[in-house]
Amino acid sequence: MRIVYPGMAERDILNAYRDLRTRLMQRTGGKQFVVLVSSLAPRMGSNTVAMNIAASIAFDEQHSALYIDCNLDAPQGAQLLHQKPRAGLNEYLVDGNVSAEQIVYESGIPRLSVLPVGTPRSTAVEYLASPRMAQLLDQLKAQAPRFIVIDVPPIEESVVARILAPLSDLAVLAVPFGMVSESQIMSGVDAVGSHRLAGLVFAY
Amino acid sequence: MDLIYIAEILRAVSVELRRYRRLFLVAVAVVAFAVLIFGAVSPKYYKTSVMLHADVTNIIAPLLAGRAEVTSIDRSEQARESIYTRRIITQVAQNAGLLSGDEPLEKVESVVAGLRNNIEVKAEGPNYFRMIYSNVDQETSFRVLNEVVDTFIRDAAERRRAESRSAYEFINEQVESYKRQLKMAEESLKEFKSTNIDGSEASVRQRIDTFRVKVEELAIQIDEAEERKRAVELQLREERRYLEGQGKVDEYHTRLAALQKQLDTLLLNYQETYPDVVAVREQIVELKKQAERDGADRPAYSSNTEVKNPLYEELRKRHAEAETDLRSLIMRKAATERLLEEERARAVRVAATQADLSELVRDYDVTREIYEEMLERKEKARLSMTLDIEGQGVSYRIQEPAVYPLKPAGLQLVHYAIIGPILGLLFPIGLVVAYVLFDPRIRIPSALLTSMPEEVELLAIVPAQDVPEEQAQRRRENKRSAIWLSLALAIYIAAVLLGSNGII
Repeated sequence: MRIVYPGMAERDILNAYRDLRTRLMQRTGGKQFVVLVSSLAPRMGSNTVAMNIAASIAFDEQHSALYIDCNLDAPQGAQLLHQKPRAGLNEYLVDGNVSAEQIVYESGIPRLSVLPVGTPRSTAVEYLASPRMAQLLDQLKAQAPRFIVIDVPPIEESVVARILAPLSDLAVLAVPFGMVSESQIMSGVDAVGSHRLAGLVFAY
Repeated sequence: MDLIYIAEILRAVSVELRRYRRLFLVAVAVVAFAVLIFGAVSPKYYKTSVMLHADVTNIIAPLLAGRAEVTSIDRSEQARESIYTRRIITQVAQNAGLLSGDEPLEKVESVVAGLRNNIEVKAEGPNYFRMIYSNVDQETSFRVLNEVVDTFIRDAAERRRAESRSAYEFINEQVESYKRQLKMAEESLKEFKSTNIDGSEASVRQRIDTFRVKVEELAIQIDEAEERKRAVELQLREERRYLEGQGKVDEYHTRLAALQKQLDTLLLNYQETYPDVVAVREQIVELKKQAERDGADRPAYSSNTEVKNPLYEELRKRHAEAETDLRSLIMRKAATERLLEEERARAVRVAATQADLSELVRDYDVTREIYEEMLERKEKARLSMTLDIEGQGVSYRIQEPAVYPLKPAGLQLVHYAIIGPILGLLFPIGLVVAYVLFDPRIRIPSALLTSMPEEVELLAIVPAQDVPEEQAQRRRENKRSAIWLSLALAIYIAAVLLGSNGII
């Protein structure tokens, strides 16, 4: 996985993400938003797209971004961190004593924070539906003005996308090359709600 | 289908090819080797060919020129039909030693079918055609083709002879039949003429005209004769009345003259008072009185007045003549009118038979014309037949004789060696293109745009990004593939070289 950065050699990739970021910002008129990023194809996560959206938001010195990793079965967020996080989303949802500040880490990229999954737990999906998750998002939004990118597992694989969709302002669905049929796209759009859907991202 | 769409298809194909690169390379190699092996093991055919020229001189066409249409024939088609007949094929097989004559029926069938399949007749221009025979054996190929050509030419010549003979026979038959028809027509015309002797319409009309003129003339003559007779009668009547009066007066005059003479004689001798003189004088007076009285009242006729009058005689003669003429004219007129009536009746009969006659005459004329022409053609046909029997009108000759085949026909191993890799590349690429186009999963962004509802936007198209580890792995893999590929290529080239030099 590669994270985009200004001045990288592959200009087409950089420009694609810059364009994507700009379009998302146009949707909300430049205001901070919570965007849910998921993939339409099973076993093809949306981590690259989600992380790069967050990274490209952070290009701008005016903005900061937070990447929330909700891939409970296959955590990815730790890749962005220098050391293994002590606590993550799972700890916060289970343990009432863990505060929002404790689980947000600075990444190596300026203005990009990461909220990792933490210790894997089999029952964690149910916790996501609890009011504490909504509370967490409210706290995070209140803490600092920043754009929040929630990375969820593929829609067909898990209900996480459906659970978290109502908590987000926008939704972006990744369409990996040669993996998804039209009907799968339509059911994915229904899952997140078409009014919330910002659009599709076709990824080669 | 715009350029962007095509570019996206190509990109999708290249992505898929990269994804299945190992399989792709294997497929290329397999197909290329398969083609090469096919080329190596497929049997080599040796082709022998002969070019034949057809002299298009049809016998029956000039014979029947202008009388009947003869369809023009495609010589190569005719040759093909002739060669493929079982008669010729079996003859060829026997002459070429493929059949000895006592093989089982299945064997004969298979040999015949094999020959039919491998003999090819190709038209090359209007009167030229090529016969080609291909066989796995050079010797057989050459021998069989020569046999085919020989048999064909012989058969054609025989057929041509038969054709000209049958043409002659046909013409001859026609001549005979027309002769019969002509005789029949003559007979019926003769019979008709003998039973219908009324003569022609024209002659009858002429006679009618003549008779009519004659009748008219006779009528005028009768009128004239009647008029003449009437005039003569009138004159005769006048003459008779005059004659009667003239007779009485003459009598008195004669008596008076006699008395006067007597008186004169008496007076010479006697005195006036002589009684005789007195008596004569009294007689004269008396006679004069009587003459005066009688000259007017007394009837004219006097039986004893036989007076000789030439005019009267002449008139009587004329009268008799006129009457005779008139009677004879009337008789003639009646006779002529009867003849005229007869002619009229005949005219009706002639008109009725005229139609029959003209039909018979027409039949006769037409038949005679054709018969005479046919007779002429028959002589020509006899000449053609003689020519053909002497073998001077053979219609096929060899334009380009067969050459002993030294190289097999068709594709050589080198060709297969070139085609192999091309097919090897095209085959998997074609499969991938078909896969990209027909698989319902989306590989083409513009297809995504067109198939989605409007509110679903396409935000971005993100190119593939290589992670450094992946790149390293790819490089290793490429190196391995290159080694395998060069190995395969080396084997391939070696196989081609060995194969084309006849070592394998």
